[in-house]
Amino acid sequence: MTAPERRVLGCGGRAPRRLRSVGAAVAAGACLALAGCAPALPEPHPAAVAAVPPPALTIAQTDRLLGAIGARLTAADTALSAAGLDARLSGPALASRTAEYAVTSATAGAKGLTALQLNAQALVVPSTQEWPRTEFVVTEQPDDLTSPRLLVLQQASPRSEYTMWGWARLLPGVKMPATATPTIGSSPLPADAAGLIASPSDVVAHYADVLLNGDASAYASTFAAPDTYRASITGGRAPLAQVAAQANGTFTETYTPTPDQTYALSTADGGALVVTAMSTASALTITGASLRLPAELAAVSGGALAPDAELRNALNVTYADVVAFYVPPAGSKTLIQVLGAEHIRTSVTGS
Amino acid sequence: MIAAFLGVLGLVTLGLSVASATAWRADDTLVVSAPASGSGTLVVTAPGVLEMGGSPVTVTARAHGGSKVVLAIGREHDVTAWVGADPHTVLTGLASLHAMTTTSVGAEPATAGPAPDPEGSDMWIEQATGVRTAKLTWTPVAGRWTVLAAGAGDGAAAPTVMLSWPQAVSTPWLVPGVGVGSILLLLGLAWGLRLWLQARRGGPDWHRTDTGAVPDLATAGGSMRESGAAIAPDPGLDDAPTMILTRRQMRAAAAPAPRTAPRLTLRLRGEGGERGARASSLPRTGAPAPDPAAPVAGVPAVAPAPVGTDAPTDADAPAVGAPTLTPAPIEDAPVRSRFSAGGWIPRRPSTTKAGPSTEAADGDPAAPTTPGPAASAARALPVPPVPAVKPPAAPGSRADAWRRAWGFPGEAATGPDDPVGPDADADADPPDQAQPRKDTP
Repeated sequence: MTAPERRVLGCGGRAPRRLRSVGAAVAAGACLALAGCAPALPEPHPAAVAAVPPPALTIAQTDRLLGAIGARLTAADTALSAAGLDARLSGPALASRTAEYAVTSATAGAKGLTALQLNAQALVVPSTQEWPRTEFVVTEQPDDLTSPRLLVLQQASPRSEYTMWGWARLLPGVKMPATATPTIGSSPLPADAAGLIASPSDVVAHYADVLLNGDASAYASTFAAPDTYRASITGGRAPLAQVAAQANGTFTETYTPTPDQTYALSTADGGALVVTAMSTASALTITGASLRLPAELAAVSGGALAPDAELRNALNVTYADVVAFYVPPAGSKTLIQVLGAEHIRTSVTGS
Repeated sequence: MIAAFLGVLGLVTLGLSVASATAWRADDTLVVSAPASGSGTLVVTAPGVLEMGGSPVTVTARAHGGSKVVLAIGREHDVTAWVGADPHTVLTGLASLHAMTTTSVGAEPATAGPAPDPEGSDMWIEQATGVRTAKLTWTPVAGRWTVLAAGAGDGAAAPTVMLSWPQAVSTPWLVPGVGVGSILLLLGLAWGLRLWLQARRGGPDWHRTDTGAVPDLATAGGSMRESGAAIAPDPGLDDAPTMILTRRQMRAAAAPAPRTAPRLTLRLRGEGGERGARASSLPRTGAPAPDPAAPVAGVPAVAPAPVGTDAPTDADAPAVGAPTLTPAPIEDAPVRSRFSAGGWIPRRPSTTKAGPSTEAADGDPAAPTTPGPAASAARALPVPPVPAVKPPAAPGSRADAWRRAWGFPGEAATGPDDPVGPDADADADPPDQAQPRKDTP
């Protein structure tokens, strides 16, 4: 071994130390150089939080959702069984459809199902981050050429699915108010929202009063006429009132908005689309006579009443109602308009 | 050697540049992953993470435990609300080019029961479900979107999430590298090929020649242009080394040429017509030829002049010149020059042999052939011819030649054309000077 070699190999000399420090400097320099060459790490640059929440659903999502509901509905319609229907139907829609299956089964199809066409014609999408979320969908005209439906889709909680909460037939001659496009979304309004001629809950209560009292109601003048739905309701009471009169009985019908089942989305003009669930209870009492129960009523009695059963005391019929209103903004001279409604017998009791 | 070096360098350059565009090329995708960690079965990304590497993003989830894995992309708020209070892991950004930073949220162990399964929620705009692994590609749109990855099924655990984005990769070294490498390689190959051909042919296939307007003449004392001064003809042995004369020298040499009948004609510029090409140094010799000066011709090339001066003392000449010299041998001497080792080496006229054998040199006074004795004989013999051959040339021409040789204007520019002793020329000179070239090959 030569002397220089020994020096280098040894660890104590000055030369090695210098070498080491030089090596360290070179290494550090190389690291710096390499680090300088390395591309900067991408960093997340999230979009700013929008001042207004985005629409809860995109159009594509709504279409997909309607397809899912339609598929489930079709399956149930085919089987005339509500089994599993609650996955995609809820509220008045589920109750109504279930009753319709019973009636259809009992009448062998004489009384058919309400046609539901799930192809959307217009969407009113909520822009919200809260639950429940409610979306309105105006469908195309069904094959039976009845009026288009106004569907109410609802998601109760983050982990639940959207369901069809209810539908309403648009009344003849109504014109849907302009609403924001689906890509922007319409802000949902609480039931006690201000800024409208009347808050949604008040509108529903007033309308129930009008249904009950007719033109005698203090609110009758706040609703636009003609109202074919109100006309059909009041018109439907006459036969029963006549029966009651003949049988020394009584006939009463009450209209009760379902609590917490009023949903509202704002319209473009600052008004609101309000949809509410309501129940109509018809109570007929008779004395000294008997009433033969039609099959279509017996079908929704839950098996308690047989078709053609003789009723001697009372007949109570409950209807599930869905009513849609257009409520103008405060200060507007426009009247509240009933846009659509559905009225389906859901249960019958009697004795 | 250099050829091989060039070739290797070219190959290496080629290889490196190609490798930079292939093997060492950066991936086309930026891939980062976050290992499963923390409690719970859910992994979500922070807003912006999906979009940070470009578009589109490909998300892959691999299940750990359990058999089902679900990927879903939704609005940040929806995902957050869906996850709710469940423990989950948030991917917050990049820790390196391959790893992500994570944060665990909700450390308390998940409550008993099946792991939450986000599959099928209407809130997701994209979702994928798979057995053990799931993958989806999404092109970001405006808004705050996050991905939710969930392990589901029995024994579910948080999946490992990988995000990948396409990235533009450039290969700046490919084209220049390949270009330079190819050039180097071709150079090396060409060089090597030439060397190989040479080696196969057994030697250099060419050699230098200096040509030009100046004819190469070999004179007895001339300096060797090609081989350098190194080869100084031994004056004693030979006076006919091949050499190149300057034009002036040639003129000087030609001028006195007393004899005509050049064997070779050269066109000399400026002089016009053909000239006794023999132009060579003959004149010089010519002069001496007759007299004992002949040997002088052998005097170192450089200075024919001095010789001339010396001429008078011809008697001495023998002393100077090799005694061996005789005009006769001179004649052929030049003819025999040959090439060797890159230079012209004048062939020593093996005077004895060559001289006599060849030409009619015999006719000359040189006839006496034999060198040694010749010297003496030469002295004796030459004399008579001298006057005979060229009386005019003798003294005057010599001086003139000297002047010319040294660049002095020579008043006595004699007609080169003199048809005088052609023979003398022939012999004395390395007449052949022009020839050597031809001969050599």
